[in-house]
This record gives sequence, structure tokens and C-alpha cells, in this order.
Amino acid sequence: MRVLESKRPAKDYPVVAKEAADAAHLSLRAVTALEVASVIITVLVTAWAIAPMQLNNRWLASVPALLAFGMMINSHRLRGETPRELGFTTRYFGRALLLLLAPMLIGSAILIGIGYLAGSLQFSYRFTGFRSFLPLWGLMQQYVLQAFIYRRLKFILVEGQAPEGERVWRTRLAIFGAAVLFAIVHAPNLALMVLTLISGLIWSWVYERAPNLFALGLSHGVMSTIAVSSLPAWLLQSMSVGYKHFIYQNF
Amino acid sequence: MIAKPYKLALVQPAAGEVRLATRLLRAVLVKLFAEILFVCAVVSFAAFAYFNPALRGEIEVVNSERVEGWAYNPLATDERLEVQLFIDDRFVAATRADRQHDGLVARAGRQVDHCFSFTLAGQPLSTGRHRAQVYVVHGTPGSSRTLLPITKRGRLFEVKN
Repeated sequence: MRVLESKRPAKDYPVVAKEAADAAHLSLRAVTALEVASVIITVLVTAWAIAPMQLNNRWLASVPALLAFGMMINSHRLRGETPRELGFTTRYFGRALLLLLAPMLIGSAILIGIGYLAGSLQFSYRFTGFRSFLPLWGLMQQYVLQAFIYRRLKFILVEGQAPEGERVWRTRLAIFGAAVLFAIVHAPNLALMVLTLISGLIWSWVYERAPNLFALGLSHGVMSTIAVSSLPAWLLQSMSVGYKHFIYQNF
Repeated sequence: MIAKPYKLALVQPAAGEVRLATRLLRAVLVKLFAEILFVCAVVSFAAFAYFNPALRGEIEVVNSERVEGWAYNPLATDERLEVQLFIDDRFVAATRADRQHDGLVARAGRQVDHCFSFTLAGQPLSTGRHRAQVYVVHGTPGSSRTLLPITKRGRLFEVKN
């Protein structure tokens, strides 16, 4: 029988045979996959089904997201995952920023370089307006991407008692999977899909080594602001995703 | 600098996985069901807002000289609807359905001061059959406007020499 760590007393858990334990673990992985799919579906439904309705009461569009957040928080609670464990902590903040420094500098240089060549640099009102909002939005996205999607993918793919080599490549697979899902939900904006794929790989890689959502949220906000202020409008398309991507927007 | 993996701690499920999986699955299904209900409600509401099935109207008179009828919204009887006349899918004229017309037969639930009248004098209509259709200009969510036909296929009329 697999020995597992738990915060709950052992007497609370029934003794099960190894085969039943394996089957139960398989079932839990299937449910975990359903959780991930459910969150992705929520994002796609909001972007592709709710957005076209152009609701007068825009707060209604946040109902699917609230349902998803409720499910995610419930999942954390049932699994005994604490906020600190998820990354809502000051621990690893400096380490995460250190790991993010080089990729952010390189990424910023590339984005600003493209903006300079295209003549689209606008570090004026947009920079000032976005810099206060985007880190918070970035924190929320990083929570969903890392604290839920990536953690669940890693649970599905990585066996706790597998050999070290297998655990490493399966962890990399989970990082790649999280980045791909992150890019998919930004469809059909191709430029944004490329940016989110690359940045998703980096952020998940950093989260694996220094799980701090505040640092990742800050990084997300800063890079989003630089991208908006650098890239030409025809390339970024108002950073719109889903159905709204097809509507003209004077961003 | 190559950072070594810090070994992100996995929350390994304890014994009792069956119960945990069941509770998680239940939460996913509840969320999914609630989401489906919400989407159905939004789509239905949007369909009603865009197409307003409550609108009522009819083309009562159509010939080579005039097109007359009525159109109103039972949910907003004080509103005088803007209507547009199309002949053979070409826009001809626009007016408001705010006239009284005692000559039109009053049907149950219809008000006679929501009538419209278009004059076709001066319109370049060739000899033969033509189709007249009247549309109501309807405001939709997102500050758009759509044209909603008041009859299914319009009305045919003939122009003779």
C-alpha cells in the first residue's frame, strides 16, 4: 500500500488494498483532469459564448469565472492545500524575482526593440494607466495558471515514487502542458498566443523552483505593460481574445 | 546560472482517495451544471433582446400606389416603432408607425394607432410582380441596431402598365 503524507490523523482513513489504492489514485487523476478541463472550458465559454451576447450588465460575464474560482478554492480545501503552499507568501519572493530577472530583461529588450523599429513605442498614458491594474490582473492569472492548472497537471503526470529522471521529464511535460493551455485560451490572437506560450513556459519553470505568486504576478503585469506600450497595435490587436478579437477596437 | 529544481512539494493524496475523488467530482459536476444553466439563460436572454419575438405587425394593404400596415411592441405600447420599407430587397423609405387608420381591421390585442403608410408614387417600379417587406428598426445590446421583418416573407404585388 502506498504510504502518503497527510495532515489528517491516520485513523480517519480506511485501510485499502494496493489494487484498490491504485485504482482510486487513477480515479483521482481522472477527476483532476476534469478539474483542469473545467477551468479551461470556463475561460473558453466566457470568451466565445458570453462575449458575443454583448450583455448590458457586464458583471454577468464574470459568473462563469466566479463558479470556476469557487470550484478551485473548494479543490484546494479538500486537498488540504494552504495559501502559503500555493504561493501566496513572501517566501521565495526574492528567489523568484532573481530567476525572472534575466528572462524579463531579454524579453523587454526584444519587445522594446520591436516597438522602436515599428515606431510604436508609447510609454506615456498607457504605461501609467496600466501599471497599477495589470499586476493585480497578472496575479489572478498566475494563480489560475500555476496554483491550479500547473499543480494539477503535475499531479496527473508525475508519480511521487517514479525514478528521478522520469519525474524530471514529466515535470517538464507539465510545464509545457500548462504553457500550451495558457496559449490556447488566448486564441485567436496569434501574437498573444506566441507571447503567452513563451512566457507561460518561463513562469511555470520559475514556479516549480520558487513558488511565489506575488513575484509572478508582478512579472506578468510588468511584461504585459511593456508589451502593450511597445508592440504595434496591428500586431497586438488590443490584446483581445475570443470573439472580441473579431470586433474592431480602438485600443 | 542554472537553477536546480527546488522540488515543489506535491500534495500527495492520502488514503481515502475514493472519498476525495468523489467530492471533487461532485464539485466539478455542480459547477458544470450551473455553468450550463447560466449559458442557456444568457443565450435565451440575448436571443430575446436581439430578435424580440414579442414584436407584432402586418402588411395590410400593398399595391402599386401604397403600402400600409401596423407594427407595435406589446411590451412597450407607448413606443412608436420606426419602420422601413424594402421592395425587392432594396430600401425605399422609412417612417414611424404612429398613425391612426380606422380603415384597418382591428384585431384582438392590436392597437390602431400604430399604423404606417408608404406612398409608392414616383418609385421606379417595372411592370410585373414585386415583393414588399417592412422591417422594424430594433435597438439591440451593444448599441447596435437590427432590422426585424414584421411578416415572414413580405407581400407580393403587381405593377401593371
